[in-house]
Amino acid sequence: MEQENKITIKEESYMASVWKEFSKNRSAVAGCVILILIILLAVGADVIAPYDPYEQNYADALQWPSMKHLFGTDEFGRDIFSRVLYGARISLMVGVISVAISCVCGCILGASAGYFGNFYDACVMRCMDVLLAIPSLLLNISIVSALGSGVFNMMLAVGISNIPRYCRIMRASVLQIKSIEYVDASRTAGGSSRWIITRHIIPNCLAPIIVQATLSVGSAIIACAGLSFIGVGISAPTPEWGAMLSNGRDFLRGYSYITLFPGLAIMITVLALNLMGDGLRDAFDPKLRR
Amino acid sequence: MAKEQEILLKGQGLVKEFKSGKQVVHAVSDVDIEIRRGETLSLVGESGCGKSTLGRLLLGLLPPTAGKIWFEGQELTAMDRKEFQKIRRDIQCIFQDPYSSLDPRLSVASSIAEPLVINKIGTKESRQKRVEELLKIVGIPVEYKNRFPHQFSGGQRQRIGIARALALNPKLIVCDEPISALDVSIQAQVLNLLMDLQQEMGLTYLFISHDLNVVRCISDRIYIMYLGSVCEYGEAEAIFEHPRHPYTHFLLSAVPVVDPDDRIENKDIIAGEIPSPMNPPSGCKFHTRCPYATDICKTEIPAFQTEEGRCFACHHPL
Repeated sequence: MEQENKITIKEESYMASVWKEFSKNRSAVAGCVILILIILLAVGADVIAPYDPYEQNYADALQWPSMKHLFGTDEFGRDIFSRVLYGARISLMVGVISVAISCVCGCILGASAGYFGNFYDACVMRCMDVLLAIPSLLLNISIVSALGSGVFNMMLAVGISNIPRYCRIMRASVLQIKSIEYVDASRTAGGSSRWIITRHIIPNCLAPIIVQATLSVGSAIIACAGLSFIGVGISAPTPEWGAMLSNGRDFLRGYSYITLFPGLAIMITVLALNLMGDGLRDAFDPKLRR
Repeated sequence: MAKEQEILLKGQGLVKEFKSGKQVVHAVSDVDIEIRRGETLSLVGESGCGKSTLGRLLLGLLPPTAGKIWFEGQELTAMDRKEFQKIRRDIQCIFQDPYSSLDPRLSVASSIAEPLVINKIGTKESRQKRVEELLKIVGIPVEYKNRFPHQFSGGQRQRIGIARALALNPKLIVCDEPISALDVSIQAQVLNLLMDLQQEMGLTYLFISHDLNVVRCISDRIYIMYLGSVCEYGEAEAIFEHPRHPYTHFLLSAVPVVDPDDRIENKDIIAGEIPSPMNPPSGCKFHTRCPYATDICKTEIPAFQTEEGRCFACHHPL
């Protein structure tokens, strides 16, 4: 009897065991810490940044990194360190939200298409083919110009153009998983379609989606930068990593640091997200646990 | 024993066709079946003869193309989803592959409790109690309840699958080849468990199998299926002792004999391959492989004849 009591105390929920597993994974925790740091820097930009990111100072234009300007200055004499800090706010938001839009829409569409099949499946997948057939930049531009420029519309455009990726990954996984016997077992127990999709199918399809999502935050930032560059995204003086990259392109030969620092910022963010994503994928899969 | 004769589940004129491109696969064609309360009914046949499909029709996992199913006198095929959901608790299933019948992401306790959660039975605490009770019944140590399926062997997983099937106190359990994926030594354990459970809980089994030795051990009655149709059914002993349908005869004589001295030279082996269910033969479906077939077999579907506790459909019974 005493032994049984001990066992009930040791009992832990699924999420608790996922967290335990995640916290044991060093690189995942490192990714998580980096990401939190970046977020803190972005939030505290007002306090940390030594200069106003918008303030132009032609006397200090195109200065190489020094103690005065940690990351140097751009062609208008704006402090790049300050701009990178402030840029984190917009870039992170843009990257994460546009990925979230495409991920959620793509997963719902893909999961339902794979699960219900037949005519519905055909309709959804042909729509996805249409989206895939249009080059993504062109699609982004047309969506933004139809909706009007602005940060939210830009995120929406980038999100929509990435829906097919998630939809296809999800559908393929669902097709494989829905024929496995535990789905039938759940149905004989009386599980509704919604129950089966949310409790069995989506959790078992999540691994490739997590990897894809964390990988594509970086490309979403770049895609938004492309839109900003042609003038349909974020307007010019606003600091944003992608926009800074494309602005610095003209000075790449003489003043490479202008592109180096925002580029590094994107790289570190994506790296942190990937490490975290890998850790999450492993933690969610009990088979990979030691 | 009048109670034993009570019919628990009845299927009439069951047909299941699958569309494959432009062709139609006749998986189950016009099958009548009766399962009596408390018995073990075995469904036997070659792979691809439609026995699993028939099982899934009776479980309600597939809608029949035609035909009706009654459970305790209520017609399942005429019910709406809500009513059917209530009846469904009484019909549960044990699956063939213990490696895929448990969700790898759910702990054993969550898997077993799932039917209870879906049907909103009990509280969190009472469900945990029930899970522990079920684990004890199937002989899995209670302290393993928070482990995940991959940490168990095939036999243990099958026991967990049985525990899940028992969670709702079902009346009928469809066992879809529950032991064919297990080692022989484990097969006996699982079979014994199933038999003990039947005695204790008064369960009724529909046992789908191609292992005739096992079927002979456990069955009260058997149905022999060939290419989507039943060709002979009745008391297990009567059929094993003296099969009347030629297909049953060939099927039984194909069972390997353990003792090499008892081995029969030149024993009757069925010739040829099972015909395609997309284009089943006319008349008696077995006529393409039957050595006794005559012209009438090619044109006329034989009617069932009753004799000494069994029924068979053959123009030239043995």
